[in-house]
Amino acid sequence: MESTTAVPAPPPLDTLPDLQITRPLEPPVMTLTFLPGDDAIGVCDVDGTCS
Amino acid sequence: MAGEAFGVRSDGLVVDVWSDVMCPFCYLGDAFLQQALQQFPHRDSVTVRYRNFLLMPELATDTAMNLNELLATKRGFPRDQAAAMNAQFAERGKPAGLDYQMDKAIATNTRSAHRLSHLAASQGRQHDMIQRLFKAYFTDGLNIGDFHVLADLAAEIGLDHAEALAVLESPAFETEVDSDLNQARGLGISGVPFFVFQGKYAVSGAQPVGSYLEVLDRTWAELTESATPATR
Repeated sequence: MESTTAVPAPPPLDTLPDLQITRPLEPPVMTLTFLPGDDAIGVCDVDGTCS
Repeated sequence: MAGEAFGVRSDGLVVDVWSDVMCPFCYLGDAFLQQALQQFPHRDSVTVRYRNFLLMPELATDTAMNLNELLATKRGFPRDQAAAMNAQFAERGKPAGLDYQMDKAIATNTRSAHRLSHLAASQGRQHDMIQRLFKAYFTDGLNIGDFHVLADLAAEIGLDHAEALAVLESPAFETEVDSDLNQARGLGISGVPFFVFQGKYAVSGAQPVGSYLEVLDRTWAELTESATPATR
């Protein structure tokens, strides 16, 4: 017996979104080794403070 | 000899630097990194890539305000402390040849300046552009959110003025800026400058010249070791 499940019709071609050219995925987050750390002269943080 | 950093293969050693044009320690850190590179015997094999970070992304692109005024009114930063900080940077910058005049600095959104750095990078002039932007902000008191100012600065380092203006007036390099910002988030970077050597070793904050040299030496030793064929 044939299925009677309705299958939605594909959208008309002229309504399809333009193909998106995307950049390659970002490489996976890497584990960084911090060096040397103790002699830092200063850093500016996202809250706008520099110390 | 080839290495790889953040999925991009490159001959030699790659240093990625996340920084913002309005970050005083980034200006200092860049000057010290350059001094370290001058002393590094393999400096011709080092590529430095400047990546974007926005310390004040909330600033509007079409407004500009004196930095001290902004710190006082928007951040509640006492004016006398701002003045003391400015004086401190003026002293710190002198040995590195930097002329901080932060009382003249105009705070504005730096996203367009970062886009311009990508245009310069595409023509092999990124460091010249970054240095000129730092000086424009910290010494010259220029509004680096103004497209005409930025195009003038681009022309000063040899880029085409009309091309720079056209890029600034378009969405060009927005994707590249977003990519740098996303990568910074992925790496957990919350402050700048932030240096990553060969995608492996991280150095947070401006450091003395010797510290950069130490990391350059270490990274170079590992890079050349991995490139040397095994002998029987």
